[in-house]
Amino acid sequence: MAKKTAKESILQERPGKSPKAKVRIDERFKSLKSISIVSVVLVVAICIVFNLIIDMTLDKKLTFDSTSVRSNSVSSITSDYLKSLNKKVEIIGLFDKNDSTLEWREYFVPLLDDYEAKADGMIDLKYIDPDVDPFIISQLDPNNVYNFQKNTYVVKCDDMLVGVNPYACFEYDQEVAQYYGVGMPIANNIERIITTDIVYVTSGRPLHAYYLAGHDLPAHKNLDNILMSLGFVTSELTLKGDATKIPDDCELLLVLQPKSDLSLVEKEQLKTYLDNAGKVMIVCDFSDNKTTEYTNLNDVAKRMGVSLDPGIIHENDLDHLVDVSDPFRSIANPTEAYAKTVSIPREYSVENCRYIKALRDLPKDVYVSPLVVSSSSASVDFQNAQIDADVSAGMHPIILWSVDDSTSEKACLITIGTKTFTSDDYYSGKTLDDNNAVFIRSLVHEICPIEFDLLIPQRKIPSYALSKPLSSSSATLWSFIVMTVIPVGSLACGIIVYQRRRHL
Amino acid sequence: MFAVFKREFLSYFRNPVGWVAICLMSIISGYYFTGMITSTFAYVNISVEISYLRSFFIILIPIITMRLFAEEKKNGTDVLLYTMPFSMKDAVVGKFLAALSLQALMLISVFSHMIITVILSGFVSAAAWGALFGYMVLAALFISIGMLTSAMTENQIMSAVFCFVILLFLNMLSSIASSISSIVKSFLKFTKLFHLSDQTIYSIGENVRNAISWFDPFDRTNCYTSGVFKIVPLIFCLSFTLVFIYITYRVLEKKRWTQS
Repeated sequence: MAKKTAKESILQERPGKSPKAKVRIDERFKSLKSISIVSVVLVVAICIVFNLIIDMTLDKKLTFDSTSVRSNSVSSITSDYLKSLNKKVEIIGLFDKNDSTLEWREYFVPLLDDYEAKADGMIDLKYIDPDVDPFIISQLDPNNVYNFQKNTYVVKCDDMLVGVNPYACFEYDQEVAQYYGVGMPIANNIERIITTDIVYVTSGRPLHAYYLAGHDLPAHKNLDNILMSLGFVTSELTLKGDATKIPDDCELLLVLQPKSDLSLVEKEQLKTYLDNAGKVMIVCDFSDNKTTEYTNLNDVAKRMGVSLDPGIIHENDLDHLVDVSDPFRSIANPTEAYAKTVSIPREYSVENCRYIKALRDLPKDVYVSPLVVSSSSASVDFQNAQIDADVSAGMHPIILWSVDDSTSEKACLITIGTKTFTSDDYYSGKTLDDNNAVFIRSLVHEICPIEFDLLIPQRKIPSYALSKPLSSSSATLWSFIVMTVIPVGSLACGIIVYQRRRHL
Repeated sequence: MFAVFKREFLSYFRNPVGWVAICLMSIISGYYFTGMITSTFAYVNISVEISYLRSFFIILIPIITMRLFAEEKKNGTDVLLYTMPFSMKDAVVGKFLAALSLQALMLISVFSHMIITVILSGFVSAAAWGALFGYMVLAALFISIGMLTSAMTENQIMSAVFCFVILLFLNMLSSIASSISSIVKSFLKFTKLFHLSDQTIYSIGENVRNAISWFDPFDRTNCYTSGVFKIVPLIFCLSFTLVFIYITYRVLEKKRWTQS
């Protein structure tokens, strides 16, 4: 038998009521029920519509970054650039936006939301998981040129594409990586990389810089960042075999700290490149190779009136030394002539500077100028007691700039005797506001046709590690307090209350 | 309203429910915190701990809310609510605030962890406070849902089970949305209904997924844990909290009139 409804029971439990009264009560229930249902439906509908409207109109506007380093907001440099953007850019995250296993997601998603908000509709941000939409990668890259992977970003404008690997956007603690083999991020370059990629895909002719590979190319992430801030795209270049050549789009070729001499093929390629008004930067630190004479590399340098010798600059001026016990770590200065032409810092940290010099007999139409020099009392120590009679104590060049004026577009060679302007070892723990970084940016700016100059600061990631490591005994003590005091205390209170009040 | 709030809040501590809830919360959070301080790098991020605690809503909220109205019904004291000289709204809001206050009090363990982190020279970021804020906003929404299930049933266990099921559903909403989206896509592809292109089918599936995920409160409040303060999720949670409070009020009003 069906259970009586409340309405029926009331009607039945009131035998004294007249049929008219029963009908009145029945109608009152009906109307109350109707009012309840209608009002609830109405309130829910209003709530949904209200939230939809708010969502569509105010979501981006009513968003605030509460982090101390503003890690979820774009800098004013990017913001200004985004306002000037005149092409539609798509940023596609190839992953599930809600995938909490992606530890880098919290750094990317809010920041890219801010990109979209600041771009006034010129940036379209999407998240498409290739597992859900298997066509997306083939749609973006039909010929599989870029080899896009899941859990990466793609920046796209018309036919120009570039992939962003999120893990490559972080700086990791070197000590932790060395001792524990774990990557603990200490800073992020997300904004720098994304903005540069937007510059790259929107510019008609992006600048390419190539690193010459094959000679134990050292880590060059910081130099990458410097070049990226100037609108460069960097990649490595291997010159092996007669068929390979330096690409036509190469705006700058970097020969970083080669541990061995160039091959004949490389020598010829570099010479041809310079003959065609190429721009080369050679960084040849003394500590990398103390004995090799770099015959082929020297041939390239000599083409531009420079010689690299197996000697090291010995700083004798105490005022220029960083550490008085180490004459090979010093402070160098720009030449007066160069400092007058550009706005650059006056002091640079240098160490283990290879002895480089301008040739006495320069090739025709080649001019060589020192840009950065040692103090006037520096000397040169030669390996194996080899002595160059021409070298005496005095001001020695640390960076030389050679220009071949014979063609309308000038070939250019920058020769740097120390790695402190380019190496990750030097920049570890420093920002790109460092004097050496400022100098190298300024130099690249001068020798290449830079359209954009977006020096976006790196974002430090706050360290959540306890600054004073806990000993095992204190860790145990704190664990005991945390796991015992509050839980047992509250449980004890509960038992006492229960014991006292159970009979009430 | 204050009288109801006071009575209800104190009643949590006149029986073991409030104490057990605090104990449970401190054990769960303490376990996570201990794991952080004893880890290799002693990497203590309170906002991650709070995010972890959000997954225990489905257990804690039913415990807190199951007795709000169901117990009144069981003890027969619900008649007092209907006949006391205050409106039903006051009773509902008072009980809601009492449960919310207990939930806030349960965070005492998290506050103690923050203090310990500072003592141990750790870093408590703005994201931790944001996560706490997001936690309380979610708690308010879930308590209003729990209160509604308590008002709709006469049995505490049933109320807790209903609340648990609803919160579990909300917890899994993203996965459910993905599954439904896949089903829709497979159906359209398999049946070749309307002869849609693959791209259109994918778009329809994604729209279905987005439409369902739109209701996911966990997803909406995730931003607070990464230091982004958004007003829209706050409005979403608070407006739906009010809606559930209103529905609870209507349910009780209906019961009140049914009793007369």
